Amino acid sequence: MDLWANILIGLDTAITPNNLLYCFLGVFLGTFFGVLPGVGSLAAVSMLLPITFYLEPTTALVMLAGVYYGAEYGGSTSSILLNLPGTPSNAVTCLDGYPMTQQGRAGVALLVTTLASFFGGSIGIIALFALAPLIVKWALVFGPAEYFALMLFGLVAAATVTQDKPAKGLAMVVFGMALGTVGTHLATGAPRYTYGYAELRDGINFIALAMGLFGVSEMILSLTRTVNKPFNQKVSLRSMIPTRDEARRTFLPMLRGAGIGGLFGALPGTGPSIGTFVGYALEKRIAREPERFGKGAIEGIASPESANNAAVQTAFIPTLTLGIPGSATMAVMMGALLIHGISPGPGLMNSNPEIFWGLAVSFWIGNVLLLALNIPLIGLWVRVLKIPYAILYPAVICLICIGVYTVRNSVLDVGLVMMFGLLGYALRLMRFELAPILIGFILGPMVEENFRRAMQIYRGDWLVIASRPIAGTLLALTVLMLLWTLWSVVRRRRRGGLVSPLAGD
Amino acid sequence: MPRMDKVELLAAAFMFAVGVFFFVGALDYQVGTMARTGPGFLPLALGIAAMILGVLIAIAARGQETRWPELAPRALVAVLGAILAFALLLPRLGLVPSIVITVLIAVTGNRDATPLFAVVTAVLLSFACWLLFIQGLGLSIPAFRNPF
Amino acid sequence: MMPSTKRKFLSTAAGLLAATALAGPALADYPDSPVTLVVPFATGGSNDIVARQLGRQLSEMWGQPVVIENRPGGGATVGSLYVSEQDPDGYTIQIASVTFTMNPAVQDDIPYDPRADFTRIALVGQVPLVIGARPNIPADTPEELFEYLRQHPGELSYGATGVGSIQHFAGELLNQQAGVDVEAIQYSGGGPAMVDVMGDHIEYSIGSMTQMLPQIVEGNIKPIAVTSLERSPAAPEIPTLHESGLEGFEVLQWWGILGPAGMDEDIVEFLNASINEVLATDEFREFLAGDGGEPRPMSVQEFHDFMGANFDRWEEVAVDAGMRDGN
Repeated sequence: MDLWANILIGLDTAITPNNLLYCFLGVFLGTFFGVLPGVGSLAAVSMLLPITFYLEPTTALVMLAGVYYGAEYGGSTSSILLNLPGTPSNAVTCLDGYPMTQQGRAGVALLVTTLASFFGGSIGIIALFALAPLIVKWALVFGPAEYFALMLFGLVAAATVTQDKPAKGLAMVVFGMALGTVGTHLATGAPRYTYGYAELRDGINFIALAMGLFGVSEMILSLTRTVNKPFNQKVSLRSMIPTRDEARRTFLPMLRGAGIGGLFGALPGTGPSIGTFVGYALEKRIAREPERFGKGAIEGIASPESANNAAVQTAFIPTLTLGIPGSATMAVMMGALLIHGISPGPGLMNSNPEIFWGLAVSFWIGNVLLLALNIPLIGLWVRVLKIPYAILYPAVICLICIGVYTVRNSVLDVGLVMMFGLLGYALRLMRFELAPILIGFILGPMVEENFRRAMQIYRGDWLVIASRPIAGTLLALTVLMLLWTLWSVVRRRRRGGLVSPLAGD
Repeated sequence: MPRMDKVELLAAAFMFAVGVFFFVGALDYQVGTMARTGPGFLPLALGIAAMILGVLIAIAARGQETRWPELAPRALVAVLGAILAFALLLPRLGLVPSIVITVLIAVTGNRDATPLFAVVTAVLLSFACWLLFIQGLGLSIPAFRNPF
Repeated sequence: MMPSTKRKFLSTAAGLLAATALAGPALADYPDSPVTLVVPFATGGSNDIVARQLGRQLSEMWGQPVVIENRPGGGATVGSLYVSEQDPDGYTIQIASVTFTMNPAVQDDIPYDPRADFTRIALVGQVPLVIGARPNIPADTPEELFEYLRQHPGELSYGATGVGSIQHFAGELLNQQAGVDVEAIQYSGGGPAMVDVMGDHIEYSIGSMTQMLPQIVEGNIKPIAVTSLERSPAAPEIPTLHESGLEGFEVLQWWGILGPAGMDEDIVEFLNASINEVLATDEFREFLAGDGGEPRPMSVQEFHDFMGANFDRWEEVAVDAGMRDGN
């Protein structure tokens, strides 16, 4: 079979000592960078790109890819331990990962994260091997109308997840979308809410927003609670092992997450985050006790982590075969290819099979290395929480400031961290949930842009959009989901309903 | 007057204010047509939605009453002040002095911190940041800069 | 750092000596510390790639590091503003592309004066764009494309990468000169626009050769024409618009080097000579050829006039096409 031949070609390239070494180096550096608060995978890849100029093209890519998924992985560590998400995907991991830390179960959360990442990554790589040519054809069917419908679906799925107080959850989605409108309106070039700051033309920096809303506000709250009292964590090997019940509840969400993430990740216009949002929303929706979510439900980290890593892998499909990067990080990776004189595109698989398949195999090796590297490290990470908070929090402030600054050498972004910190603190006092802000912020501009493009192409004719098979189906699903949510709210109201205890956690 | 949850009312007022802010801002931008939506289209719609949601939250605030949350002005000022100091000082003083001052401000958020603890933490952290970011990662931030 | 052979070092030293001897006392020791080359875009874009190649060769030549500093944001305005505010001592320069002369034609609130606040140092190279059409479009040649577009006025769309982008200017210029009415759809980059062409969602996109050629080879995109006056050596079988009835049609992507206003003339001349020396190397020629481009050495005066002509031309196109209206 072709597949075997391809894997053999790939093994041939990936197993050379040099490539193995750089794969390890990439994964290691990536994990390290990702753990630093404020440094996401984009910053990590951009910072290390210049180092790879002097390597062989394949080796350079192997290393950068290792940095990329290593950083995605490391980002979830700081999300779980300190509520500091470096990427949108990591923000979802915060939702249930951080509560687990507060309950003294950080080890379990980190272990499940590691396993789910590895599982999702492996599924993504299998998809990369077996389905790359097929997925490319399928992805092309997605035009602006389809993306609009898909983004709207993701937005509504994420928005209706907060079932305790639908109005307040929806309010935060709307708020996030509104924050997302800051910056240049793509279709007309008009600046919106920029107040003369050139930096704001590109919109609010995601890292500044996430660090402020989650990290800084968390710090202010923690300071009032526990200055010298670290969370009570057990660091023994035994404390990392999930309960039998948790293990049972991990597998299916992981599988579903990998499927959703892999599918969405392969679309060039989506980026990895939407898969994690939808994965989380799905788990909460089909769970028998959805109220456990947000309070340390293991499914709430297994599914998005698996989805994220599957998406990270399948995102290489459009990048390598179409030459279309699905995210900013992928754009930097593609730049690395171009610098080495390799044009990603449909010809790459045929003209440079050793590069394409070598990369694919090295991804899997990288994931194995990541697993081997991180399980022993979990004990170390958990010990971070043993550092007295009096020392930890000034250190985290420094790391956030420097990390956010280096993303684009901008002190305005550091100022924004402060403003969003204040805002996040105020919102928590008013008992708003913060995650929907990020979801609205990420998906809002995508919905707007694709809506505008679709309407422009079809000259404002709604019916054309609705009659396209994929777009129409997705729009119908979106409407169904809205109706279902509305119905379940009404039903709950009749029964008396739950009072939201979600104040500021 | 019926019993109202004050925190929820505040939340409602906040959301309404967000709506007004984006709505008024959007009035400066063109709304466009359905075939060619302008820059004002989405902000206008979101502004209206936020105002409606504000009203809905206020309606839902009836009936129950909860405790007014405790404020933490000391922690708030220390953490936010530290970040602001970093933003203002970095371009003028360079990395190391900025970190020292940032840490000194941040530490005031901790009631139990002694001056000695503050100074030691500041020195250690500034050294660690210098080692990690300038020596280790080779970032192009000057370690020291003459402000004059 | 790059390992440098002894031979290279000697020739560099010789070049340095020659250059120093030619120049006046003002630059006796320039550059005696690292030179910062600001890229007002993120890592990995075409400006970044060109700047890094140029920077690497310049630092080999000078024996003095050329530090690449990415300052992205605001469609290059953040980085350019930064450069315009630095000392004009020759130690901070930037790369600028054709869009630097296009932005002021469509944008009101640029925080600096693009014409007055910069010293124009040298042109680096230029590269044509290619019109890539969807594979099922009922047209194979430029003439057939114009005919098809004329038969469907107000119904068809093309992909561009933002108001005032080079793709947008090229598209509007095509609309004007061919007398057709095709709607610009804005994308966040050349890649997404190209995918929608490949997926039959829009008619065509006028994009970079680097991006389009691999898809053209695979038959996923139909090449219609290139935007230079002469055919491109990278794809000589693709006709030009100029030879297909749109006489004088020329839109080229180019990269140039600028510094803050008020730089010492001798240093400007030295930089111009050094850059032209890099452009003459086979290494740099081959590097640009990979993207279908070529080096374009110009004297300081030629480059000054070249940029002035660009500013004027794009202003005129923008006004004629009503691009400020945001359509």
